[in-house]
Amino acid sequence: MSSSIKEEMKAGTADVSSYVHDDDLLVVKHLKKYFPIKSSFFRVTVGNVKAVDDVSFSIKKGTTMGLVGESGCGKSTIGRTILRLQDKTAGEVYFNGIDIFSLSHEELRKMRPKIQIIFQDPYSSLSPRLPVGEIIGEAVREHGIVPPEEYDAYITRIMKACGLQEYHKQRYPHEFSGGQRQRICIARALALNPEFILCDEPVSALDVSIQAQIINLLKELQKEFGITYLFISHDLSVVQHISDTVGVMYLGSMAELAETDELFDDPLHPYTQALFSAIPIPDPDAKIDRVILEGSIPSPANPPKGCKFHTRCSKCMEICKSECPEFREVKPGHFVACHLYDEK
Amino acid sequence: MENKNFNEVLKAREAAEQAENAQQDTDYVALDDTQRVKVLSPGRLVFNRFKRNKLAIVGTAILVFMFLFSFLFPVFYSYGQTEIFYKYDTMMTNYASASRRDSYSNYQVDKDHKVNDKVKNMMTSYIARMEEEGNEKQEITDEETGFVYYLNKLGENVYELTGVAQEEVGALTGFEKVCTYNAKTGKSITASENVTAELENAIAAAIKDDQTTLNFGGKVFIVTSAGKKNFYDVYDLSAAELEMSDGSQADAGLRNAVIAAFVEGKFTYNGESYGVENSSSDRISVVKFSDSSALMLSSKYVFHSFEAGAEFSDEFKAAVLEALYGEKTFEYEGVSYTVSSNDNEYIISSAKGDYAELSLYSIRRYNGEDTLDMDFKRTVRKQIETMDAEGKKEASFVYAIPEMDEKGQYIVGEDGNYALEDVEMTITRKDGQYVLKCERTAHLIDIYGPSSSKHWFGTDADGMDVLARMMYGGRISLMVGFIVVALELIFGVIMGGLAGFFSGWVDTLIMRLVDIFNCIPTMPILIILGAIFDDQKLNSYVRLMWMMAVLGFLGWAGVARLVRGQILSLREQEFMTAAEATGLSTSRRIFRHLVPNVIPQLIVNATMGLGSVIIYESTLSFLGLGVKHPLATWGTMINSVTSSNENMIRYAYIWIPVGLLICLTVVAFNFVGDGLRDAFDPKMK
Repeated sequence: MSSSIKEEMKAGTADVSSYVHDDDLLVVKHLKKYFPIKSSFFRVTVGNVKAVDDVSFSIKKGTTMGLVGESGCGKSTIGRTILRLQDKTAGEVYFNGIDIFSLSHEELRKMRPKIQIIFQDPYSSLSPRLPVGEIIGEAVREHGIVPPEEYDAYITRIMKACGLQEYHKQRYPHEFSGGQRQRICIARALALNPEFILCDEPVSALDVSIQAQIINLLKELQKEFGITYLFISHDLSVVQHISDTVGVMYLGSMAELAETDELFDDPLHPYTQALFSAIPIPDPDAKIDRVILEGSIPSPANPPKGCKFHTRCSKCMEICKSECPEFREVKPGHFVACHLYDEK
Repeated sequence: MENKNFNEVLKAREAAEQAENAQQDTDYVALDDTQRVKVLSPGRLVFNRFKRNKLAIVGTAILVFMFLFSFLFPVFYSYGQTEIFYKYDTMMTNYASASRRDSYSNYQVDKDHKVNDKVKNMMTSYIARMEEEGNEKQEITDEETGFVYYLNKLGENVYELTGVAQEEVGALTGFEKVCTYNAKTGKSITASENVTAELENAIAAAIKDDQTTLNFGGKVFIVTSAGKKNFYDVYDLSAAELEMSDGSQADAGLRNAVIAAFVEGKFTYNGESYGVENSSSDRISVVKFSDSSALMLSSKYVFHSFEAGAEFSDEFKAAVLEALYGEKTFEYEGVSYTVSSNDNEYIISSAKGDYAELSLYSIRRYNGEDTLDMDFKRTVRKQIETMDAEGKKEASFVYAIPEMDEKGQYIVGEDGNYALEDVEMTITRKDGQYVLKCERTAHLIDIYGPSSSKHWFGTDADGMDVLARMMYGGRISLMVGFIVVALELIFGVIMGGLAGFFSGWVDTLIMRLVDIFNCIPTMPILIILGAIFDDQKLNSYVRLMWMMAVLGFLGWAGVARLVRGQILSLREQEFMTAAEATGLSTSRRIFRHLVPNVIPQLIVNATMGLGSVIIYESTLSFLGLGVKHPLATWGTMINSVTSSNENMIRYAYIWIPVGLLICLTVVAFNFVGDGLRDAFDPKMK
């Protein structure tokens, strides 16, 4: 980790430096990802889908950041762009102080084991024609994570750590249940000795009991190996359970970012408030103060002017319609993009 | 926690667990199914799944048999695919033919005198007319040369052509042209002084009376047409003298006859024929006609020799014909012959014995050779005559002819002569021809031979062994199938792979090409190509290569589309993203993750394709557009017996086994293809 980059980052724009710390593993600065819309006939770009529109955050080593938001708000796109599985439009991503987008393909390939991903769908993310041992061990062999003589034992150990049996090695993914498959995915990610794992809704395809198993497995692994997670989910209670910090996204932008407890105790952004009001409370007598959002999420191809949320916001002011709110720290460690908290 | 290796952590944990277990020291058995799960390699798994499919096993067995049958069996089978087999068999053969002569043949007697073809043609028509009218003599004038012939009937069926000799015997001189008279004006032109008005009147009267001689004033005048209408030449012949060529004194009667024939040009005097010819304006020659000797003889008779196969010269034949109705004896080349008649036939015999016979029937071996003996000819003649007399169309008789063994060789008896056997001869009349048939041994191509110990499936229309052709045909059908499918796969995988992997304009271009290839109607193209190959008269093997190339070239589009579709869908699969995220190299991603997922579909597609290519090849060959005779394929073999409905029923033993081979092979390929598809699909239990 080169400290010079950190210095440079800190010397940059104030809004970024304010939430970049020395022990940050991953720093995302003003990341933008636009998907061009092409006319059907002449293939001319007529517009952009602003899937990720100027998002900045950082994750401390050994912690978990939750990323929540509605479907289509750009959570997964952020994840994939961070991993450089697709190109960015603008911004920078620093992993251990290294700009991921500045790497050559070969350098990136060498770096890949450090940053892993667990996919949402455990069914399609496993190659159907390879046995599980091969799925997990293929990249281990490729990157030489362990010496060849320890390879077999290592795969067995990793599998055991993820709750799989040794004899599963020769089996094919279709022979496993969803939960087991997700364990295979985790084992595959874990086997590469990663520092960071992007969990792209890893439990949303699983039933609740399995979800708990997987979440606990992830937490356990984190405790043991000190892995950093970016946990993308739309399940707020899961995020609350696993995350140290939580970012709330709306229409490609970060609306609010804070420590988990801080955020859940005192959500500042009207969208966050609306979102959290939807969390069911396991008490039939509890009175839920639901904030019902009107309308649906606007098209990311043509986002509203000013604050992107103003079309649905119950506390909308004149300024919201014309001026985009700054994403700023209103409380220590609590960032929000809302005109309600503008310094008067 | 910094840079902690998982392996170290996990090892430590394992060691701790082991220590714990050792402390507990209980040999508990974990609920771990390592003991009951047999670990199989993926290939073995596929094989096991395949093995479980009964139909696939049946298909494999059939295919193994087909391959052995086509590629191994011919090595041990003694017959080749184009070997033609023969057999000896007795069959009704045309033995001889007979016909009654009703046209005349000409025999030249005078070699020096060439008779014009026109005259010969006239002869035949005149002979026909003479036979009809019963005339004995006919004059023929050659219009080109002015030569005169006489056609004389010598006797029944024999005519003689003689020429006419001309000899100038004398000339008439001393006559004088008096005038040219114009009958229209009544005036004479270029008249001499002694043409009086009275003479003119007499001329006019003679013209009016249509007389040619005119006696006027004690003189004889001849009035002849001057060649122009109404103009007449008048000659004074009173002073005309006949001078004989030999200087002798002219006969007064002859002179008068010449004068009388002045206009007509021909006359007869004292039984001799004469002619007058205007040689000049004051001289008329007189020629005497006389018959010459025979120039040509024409006869209907056919000459048969007592010596089988002996030929007669035209001179001999002419001599015979001359003697036939005349002296009955003649000499030819120092041998004297006599002619004797026997009913309608004439026998020519010399001192040595009978030499030749004349009859109105021509009787020969069916191949045209005149090798039959006289006795046989006479027998046949008699049979035909009785047949005709009774008005029958068919007759049969028994006659002894040289015997043949079953190999078609004549059997030679102990005495050195051919052994004879009695054979029933059938005579049939058709269009004035008589055909003699009998059972004879013949060396034949063994066509459509039924199943026998020598040929298990019989022989085909060309006398080739059906079993051998089935084997070699299988070779070609299977080879065509494999090569065409291989070509399709090579083309298809390359094109589909390029399209799927690079997408963008490469994909668009290749897919439009695929669309075009899918639009091409294969059958018409192949039919056109078949016709072109026919036209080029390509060698069978070259043609086969071309056919495979064209079939492969036309068939790649489907494979390309399949591969492209697979690659496109696989590229978007999350496991491909996962492979990228784990940092696998591109080649590894392609060959470990993409290709294995495409290959099963390709194998299944290829296996199924094999069947359809075999069907295609058979169809083309059946239509005569594919592989050409004599190269055997299953299609051509079926085609060879489809000429008629009747053939298809009668020769079912040829096309049913071949058809079964095609069906079995195609079905087997489909079974195996199905089996492979199921076996490759890991989701199949």
